[in-house]
Amino acid sequence: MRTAKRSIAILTGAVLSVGFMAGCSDDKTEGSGDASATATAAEETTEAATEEATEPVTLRMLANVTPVLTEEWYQEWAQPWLDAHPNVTLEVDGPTAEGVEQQFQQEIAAQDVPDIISGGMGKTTASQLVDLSAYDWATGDIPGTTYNGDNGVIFGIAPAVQIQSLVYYNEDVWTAAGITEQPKSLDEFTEALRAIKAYDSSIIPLLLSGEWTTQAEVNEMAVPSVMGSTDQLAAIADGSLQVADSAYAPYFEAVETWVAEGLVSPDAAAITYDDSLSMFSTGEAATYVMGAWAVSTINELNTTFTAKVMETPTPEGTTGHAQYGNPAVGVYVPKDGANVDLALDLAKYLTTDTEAVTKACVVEGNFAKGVTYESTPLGEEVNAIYGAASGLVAVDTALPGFMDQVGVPVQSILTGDFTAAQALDELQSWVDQNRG
Amino acid sequence: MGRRAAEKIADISMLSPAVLLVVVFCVIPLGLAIYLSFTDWNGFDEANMVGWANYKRIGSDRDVHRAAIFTGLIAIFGTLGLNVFGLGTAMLLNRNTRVNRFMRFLAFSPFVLGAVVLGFLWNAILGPRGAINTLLKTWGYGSIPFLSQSTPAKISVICVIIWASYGFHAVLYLAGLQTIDQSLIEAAVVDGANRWQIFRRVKLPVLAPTITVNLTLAMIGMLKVYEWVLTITKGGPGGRTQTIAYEILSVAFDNSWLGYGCAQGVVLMVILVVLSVAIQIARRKSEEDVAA
Repeated sequence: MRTAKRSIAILTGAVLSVGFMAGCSDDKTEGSGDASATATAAEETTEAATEEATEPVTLRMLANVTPVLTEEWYQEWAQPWLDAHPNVTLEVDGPTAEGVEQQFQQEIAAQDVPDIISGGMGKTTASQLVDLSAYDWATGDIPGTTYNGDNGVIFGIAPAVQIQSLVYYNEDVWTAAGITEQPKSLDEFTEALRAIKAYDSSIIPLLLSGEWTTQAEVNEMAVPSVMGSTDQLAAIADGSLQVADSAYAPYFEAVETWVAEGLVSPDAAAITYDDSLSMFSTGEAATYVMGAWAVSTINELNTTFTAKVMETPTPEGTTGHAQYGNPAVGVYVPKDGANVDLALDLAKYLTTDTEAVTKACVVEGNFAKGVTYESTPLGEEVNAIYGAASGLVAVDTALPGFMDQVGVPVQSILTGDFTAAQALDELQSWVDQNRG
Repeated sequence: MGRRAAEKIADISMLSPAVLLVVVFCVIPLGLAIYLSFTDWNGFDEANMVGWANYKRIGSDRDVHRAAIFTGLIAIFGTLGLNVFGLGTAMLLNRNTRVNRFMRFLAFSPFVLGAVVLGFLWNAILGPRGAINTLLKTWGYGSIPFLSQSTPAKISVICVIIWASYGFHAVLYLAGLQTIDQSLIEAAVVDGANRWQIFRRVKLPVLAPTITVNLTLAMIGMLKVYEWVLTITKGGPGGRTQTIAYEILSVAFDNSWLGYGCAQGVVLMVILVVLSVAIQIARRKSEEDVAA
């Protein structure tokens, strides 16, 4: 009996061990993308996969879910393609990490790679994404723009572009405060904010906010100057320019002035993006710096005042300056997804089909070649600013994380912990620390 | 096969699943983290060896220093708070009445709900447009910068952590209190000891092992705080409420510096091991003192 028990024990232990090892093993055999495929071969593979795919398939999309770009919107965006592929369902996941790029990295580490990604991603991830330069539909005269990596690699494609250097304002309050002309320089802008405070101290003259929006707001204002005549971001990254000598400095100093004079909310550093939209739309704040994507939310929230928009002020007061722009609703296909060919077909649809591109434009007030759509008065004003802009500057700094980091010392100005000079020094310290 | 050999094989085969789990989920990741801490791995591309560069960088990184200071504050005030409130609650609820049972449930319930749910809840309560500030505004008062200024934000995070976790420590202290031999207390009463003397001279020495366990658990837990910061302040304002754990995940995944993140993780692990060993030594000593 004891021998029998011992034998059972040995057998159980062995089975558990083997079972455990088997469970840990990676038996993944499904397709991985070949970035070096020729255009023809790539197209053929995609077409063949699309035709042959009759088994039920779920494509998982990791998407930048926002108050405007909801999970439902992504479903609706892809619906015509899904209708043409009845065996395919789309599952949309928003990131639990800071953004899709960070989430993608975590999912790679967890070996749970999404089939397709929508959002903004930088060059760091390029090696994990299908190189779209092998595909005709991604390289011709496309409606939007591409995400370009090194050596001619195209690691993503966007159906549209968006502009960000915009200031929304409550025209009723501005007029009542005696502001009759849109301020062009930072000094004029500060004067306008002072006038609003003098008119009604219960209204927040300028809405700056916390979390990720701090860096967004400061970059939206500063990037047209930072990337003006020279690429100061490249100079900061290679050490030939100190942050304190860059075009960021006047904006940091302006924030310090605004805080000192009570022209921004004392709670600015903890106001969330959703709250900031709501605070502007309900009239709690008179002025709001945000990208073109805010148009749809401001329209939806039915403001009781006339909302207007203008380009961000610059230190010199230049008008028609270049707009801080970026690809909108970018689409990427991870190399190691389980359904690369189907995902490529969906990416092609989302970024080249007229209906899909138009949806990508309408949702956030974005722009694409050959696409026109009916817009609201506020949207038309954004169109006019885009039309008058001297160009579109995209940012892809050699210092990963720099754009986000800009917001951290600025938040310390908002809390009163730092002066502008200390904040610039803090940012410089970060740059020195992280320069490759 | 001899009986002893068969028994050995049985022992090994029964242990092997557990050993495998430990090796796969602890030893290998730890070894990998130590290896990666000497590389510039970004999570995607090939890892290149960079020697001690990541460790040197920790020494001069202002974000790490700031995170280390706040983590230290959480560890000190959190550990103190959890143990003072935990022990106090246990003393108050030691008698087994219906009311006390309900109060124990109330004290323990935040621990059951978990950090993520409660963190978001407290964010909604303490935020600039949260419940408290909205009420204050309705009543005509100004807002309190619970999360929008550095010091109040730090205090808010520490207070919420203590509120959410003291119930767990109270339960541990309750278990310890209920093991105290009543005859010891009765003898002290007969000897004329007052309540404070009974607590100081009788209960506290007997509770020494429980206290050291509570201190160890609280200290280690406080040094690893992540979810509370993520959900209440997201490390803000201005990175002032970032903890070491938050900083590690932030540099590793937000900035794609996994090698540097691993180096920070290794340093944190070493600190945790040193603290745990120190507390264990202190515990052993206090137990020996009690026994003597």
